[in-house]
Amino acid sequence: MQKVVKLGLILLIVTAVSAGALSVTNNFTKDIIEQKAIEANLAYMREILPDADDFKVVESSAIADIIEVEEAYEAIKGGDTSGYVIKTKTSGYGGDVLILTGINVDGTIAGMRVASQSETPNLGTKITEDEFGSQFEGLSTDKELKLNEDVDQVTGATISSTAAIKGINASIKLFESVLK
Amino acid sequence: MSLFVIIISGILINNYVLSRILGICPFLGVSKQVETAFGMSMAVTFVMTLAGVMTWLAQTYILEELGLGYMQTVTFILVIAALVQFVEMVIQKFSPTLYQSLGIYLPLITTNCAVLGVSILNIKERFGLLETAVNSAASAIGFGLAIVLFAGIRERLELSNIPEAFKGFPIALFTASLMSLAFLGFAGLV
Amino acid sequence: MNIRRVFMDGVIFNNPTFVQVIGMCPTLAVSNSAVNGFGMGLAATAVLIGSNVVISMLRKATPDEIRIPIFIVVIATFVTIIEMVVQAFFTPLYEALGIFLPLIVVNCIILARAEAFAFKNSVLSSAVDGLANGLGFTLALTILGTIRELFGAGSVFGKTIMWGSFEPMSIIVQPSGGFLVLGILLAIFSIFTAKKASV
Repeated sequence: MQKVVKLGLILLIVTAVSAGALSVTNNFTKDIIEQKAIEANLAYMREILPDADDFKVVESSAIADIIEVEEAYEAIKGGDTSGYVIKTKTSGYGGDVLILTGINVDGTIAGMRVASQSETPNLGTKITEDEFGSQFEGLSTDKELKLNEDVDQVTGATISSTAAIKGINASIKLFESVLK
Repeated sequence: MSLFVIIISGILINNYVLSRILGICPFLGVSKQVETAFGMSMAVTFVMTLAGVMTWLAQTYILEELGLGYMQTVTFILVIAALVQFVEMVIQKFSPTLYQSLGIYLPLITTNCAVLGVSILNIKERFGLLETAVNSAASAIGFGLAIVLFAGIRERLELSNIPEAFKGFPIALFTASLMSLAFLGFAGLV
Repeated sequence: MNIRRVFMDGVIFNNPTFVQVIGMCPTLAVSNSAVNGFGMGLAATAVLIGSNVVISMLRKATPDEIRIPIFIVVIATFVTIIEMVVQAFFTPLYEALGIFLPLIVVNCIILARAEAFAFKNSVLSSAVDGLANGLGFTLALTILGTIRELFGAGSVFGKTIMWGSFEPMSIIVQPSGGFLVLGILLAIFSIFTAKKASV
């Protein structure tokens, strides 16, 4: 019995040291990681809605209700809301596909950018290219978009294209149901 | 996501071995005979489903409650290792016959990356408890399907005349390559 | 123990990928481009050195019965630290490696080195062993990644080098192509070793 206690104690000490080391590293890297994420979004957001003066985080509990939506930002121009940028996460072929969708207040899509993905090089990665992304610009948010009806998919990359349009549809849903 | 989609996706579309490339070590190592491959896949199914549920509980009720998200990897691997030990002891005690057929595979499962992989993915996909259980089981069945089919092909390959340099791992990898290509056909099913 | 011998064993004669054929999941999964293969190799090397050193330091204080759980905790700690560092400073690589970064924990190479080497040898030679096995793994992944990227995307380390009319064989960067290319490499390797043995 004494032995079991001793072994348990040793394991506990090792784990505690591990937790300590991780907590230190976490404190050290957490801010950098967050900072990088905001900076990365900001560059994309400026591309999607170039007229906006400033972007503010939308704080609403309704955001968590749509499972794909990660974050939402409000674009401010001359003191008024000019549009929204919504970040969504869907699963693609090689992992998560993070998409930023910009929606103008008038209910048209301003544009989309793929913020991160791990799709197949040269195939699924084409969802990041302009040829695919620019198809969404100007489309209305009054209905859900359908692949190969409203926009053409990337040839040979159905899963990646579906992941993209799912993210954009989630953004549309959030805009129509909450933000508008 | 509907449970049906999760099942189809776990078994066929995102097959753990052939499309996500997880759990390759047992896939190549324990696939010389259909019988052992079947035993391994039964053991994996059992552990993976349990591990998926246990790690989900640990994440939701311990790590997230305490704000210790960064302990995820350490916690999950410990939970899986402990679970494997526990399952091994329980089976040994209550069903010696089952232990004889599954026992030798159990220690190998701790380092089967598909088990840890499914646990992490369940959290990443923000699955609920039921979805987690279904997804873990479906992924394990997908693993089992791949390894049993693969073992069937390898049994036949044993009898074929293969160039010296391709014997062993190379021919097995070519087989896996063709199977993976075939499973690509399931992509876009849902 | 001879340090040079330990080093050469890890990198070439006992190469984790080509000779021992272990750690196959990351080998196949993230070798779809040279950068990813190289990055994964270095991340695993960092973990290997760290875990080998700590396990070797603790080897006298570690009871035999619970050595595996202790190894696992040590390895998982290093993996998580590396994961955070990569996420903070090499964000694109973090996204490309995805789930395979935390899965370094179950990379059999690392546990195998802990059990077979670090637990029995001095801190210095364990560090060298970790470095050597890590480099051997990195080498294999980079070779595999370069070949797959070259044929699958026409580029190497992101630079296009194939001629303009070259049509990339995207199947090579898919899982299926990973199995295929590794199979061919292992076959070539076995031709060479077989020749050596017969001479």
